[in-house]
Amino acid sequence: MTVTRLRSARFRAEREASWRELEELLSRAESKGIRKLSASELERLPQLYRAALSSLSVARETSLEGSITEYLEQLTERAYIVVYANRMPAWRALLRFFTSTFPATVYRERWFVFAAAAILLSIAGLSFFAVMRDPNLYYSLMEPSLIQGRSPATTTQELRAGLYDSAGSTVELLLFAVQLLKHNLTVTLRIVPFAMLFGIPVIYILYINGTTLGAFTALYAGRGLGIDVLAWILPHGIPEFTAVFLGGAGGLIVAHALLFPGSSGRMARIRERGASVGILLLGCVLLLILAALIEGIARQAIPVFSYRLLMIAVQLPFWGWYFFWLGRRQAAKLEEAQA
Amino acid sequence: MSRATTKDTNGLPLPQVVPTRYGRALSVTTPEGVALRFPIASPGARLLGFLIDSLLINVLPLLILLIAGRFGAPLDDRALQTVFVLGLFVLRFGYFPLFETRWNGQTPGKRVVGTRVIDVYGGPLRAGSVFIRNITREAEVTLPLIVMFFPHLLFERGTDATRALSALWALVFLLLPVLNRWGLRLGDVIGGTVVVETPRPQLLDDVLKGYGDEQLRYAFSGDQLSLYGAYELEVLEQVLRHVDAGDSTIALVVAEQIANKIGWGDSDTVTHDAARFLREFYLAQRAFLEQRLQYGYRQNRKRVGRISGVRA
Repeated sequence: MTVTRLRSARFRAEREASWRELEELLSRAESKGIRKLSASELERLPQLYRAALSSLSVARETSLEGSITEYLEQLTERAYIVVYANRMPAWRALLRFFTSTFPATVYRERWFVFAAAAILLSIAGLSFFAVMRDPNLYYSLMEPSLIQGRSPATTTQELRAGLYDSAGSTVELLLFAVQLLKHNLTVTLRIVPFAMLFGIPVIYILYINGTTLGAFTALYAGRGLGIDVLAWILPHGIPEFTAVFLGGAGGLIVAHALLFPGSSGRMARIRERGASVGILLLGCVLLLILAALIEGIARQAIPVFSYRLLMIAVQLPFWGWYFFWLGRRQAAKLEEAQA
Repeated sequence: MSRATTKDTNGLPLPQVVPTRYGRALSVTTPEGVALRFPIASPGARLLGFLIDSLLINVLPLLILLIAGRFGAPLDDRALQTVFVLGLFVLRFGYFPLFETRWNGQTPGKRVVGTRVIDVYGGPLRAGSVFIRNITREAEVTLPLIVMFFPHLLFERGTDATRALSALWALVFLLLPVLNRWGLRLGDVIGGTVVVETPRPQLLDDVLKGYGDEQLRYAFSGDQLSLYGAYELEVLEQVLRHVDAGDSTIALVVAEQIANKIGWGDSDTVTHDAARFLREFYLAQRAFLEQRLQYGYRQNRKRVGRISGVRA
C-alpha cells in the first residue's frame, strides 16, 4: 500500500495548485487592492474561489485530514470576503448616496421624521407662547449655555445688533464654523446610542431643542424682531433642524424596533432597521456640515436681511424637491430593484 | 427571545452562530450554497485592535504637534489652530468609517490583530452599517469612561443614586460584547455587523509526504483498523506533526496506547521504532477509513474495548 493509493492524497495532488494560485491572488488583492489585479487575474479569481469552495465541500465529506479541511475553510472564507466585497469606487458610492440612498431612505422613513419634527415643533410652540406671556420663563426654558448675553434683560437695540453684527476675518469665521459643527455633531450623534433606552432620551433631546427654539424666538418676537430672528435662524436652521429631525427619527426607529420587535426577535429587528438609521445619521452629518458652513460663513459674511431671505427662498423648494420628489422616485426604484 | 423564528421579516434566514472546535463561529451560507463558518473574534483581540487604533487617533496628532512645535511651527496662529482642530475632528469621526469601508472591514489595528468586520448576513459591508457601528462607539466607550472617571463633567448636580445608575447603564454598554454569544457590541447590533477573525490559511504538508515509495515494515489487519474513528485519526495527525517537530516522547506514549488497544504483540517495535510504527499505522488507518467512507460508512469515534491476544 502506498500513499498514492490514498484518495485524499490524490485529491490534494490534483487541486493543490489551484489553491496556491488563489492564495497568491488573495494576498495581492488584500495588500494592494483588488484593482491592482490584471483583467485576466480578475476573471480567474471567482473561478478559483468556486473551485476552492467545491474542494471544501469534497473535503468536508471525504477528507479525514483535519489540516486540509481547516485550510480550505480559511481559504474560502478569505476569498469569499474579497469576491463578494463592495467594489464600488468611493466617488461613485458617494454620488449614489446623495442622489439615491439618502433621499430614498428619508422618504421611506418620513413618518418617523415627521414624528420627530412634530415633537420638536409642538414643544417649540408651547415654549414660544409661554415666554410671550411671561418673559421670565425664558431663563428656565432656554438652554443655559446658549443664552450668551441674550435675555429679557438685554435691550432691543442690543438684540438687533446681535442679529446683524458684522463679520470677523475669514479665519475667525472658519473657526467659528468648526466649533459649531463639533457641537452640533456631538449632540446629534449621541441621539442614537441613547435611543437604546426605549427612546425616552431621544424625546428628551428633542424637547430641549424645542424649548430653546421656542424661547429664543419668543424673546425676539416680543420686541418686534420676529421676522428678523427667523431670517437669522432659518438659513442654517433649515439644514440643522432637518438634521435634528433625522437624528431624532433614527432614535425613534431604534426605539420602535425595541418596543415592537415583531416575530423575528428584538436583536434581528434592530439589525434590520439599523441600516436605515445609519443612512439617516450619515446624511445628518453632511447636513450639519452644510449648516455650520452657512451659519459660520455664508450668513455672517453678508449680514443683510434680504440676502438671508434669499438663502431661505432657495433652500425650501430645494429640500422639498430633494426629499419628497427625488426621494420618492428613488425609493420606488430601490423597491423595484429588490423585488 | 422566545418568539424568535428562523426567518426575518424580509424572509431571509436569520444568521446563526454555531459552535466549532475552536469556539463559536458565524455561519454564512454563500450564494453557491456552501456554509462557511467565520470564527467570532475574541474580546481580547478586539480590545487590542481598538487600543492600537485609538493610539493612532489620539496620540499621533499630539506627536505631530510636538514635532511641529520643535521645528518652529507658529502654534499660536489661529489659522493653523483651525486647521488642526478640523483635522482632529475629521480623524476622530472619519478614521474608523473610512478605513472600514476602504479596507473592506479592517482598520490598521484590526489588521494587526487579524480581525475583520463582516455583514451578519454575509453580504457586502454597507457604508451605513460601518458608519453607525462607529458612531455608537461614542456612547459605548467615551461615555462610560467619562461616567466612571470624570463624573463631574456630566452631572454637576446629580445625586449619588443617579450617578450609580448612570455608571451601571454605561457599564452594560461596555460589557455587552462579552455578555452575548455573538460578541456583538451595541454598534454591531444596530449596524448588523459581526467582528470575525481572519486567520492566514496555512496549507501544511501531508504528514505522509514522501512516504509512498518505501517498503512498508508493518501490516495491520482489518480488525485492528476497525477500532479507531475519524476523530482519533485527526489527533494522530497532530501527534505526527509534533513528532516531525522533534518530540519523540509523545510518539512513545501514543504508540504504546495504540499497541495496547489493537493488541499489537510485538512490544519491541513500539519501544524502538515508535515514530515509524505510528506513521504506518496512520497510513493504514486513513486508507481504511477513507475506503469505508467511500462505501458510505463514516466512523467518527473509536469503539470501546480492545483486541487482545492477536499477533500481527
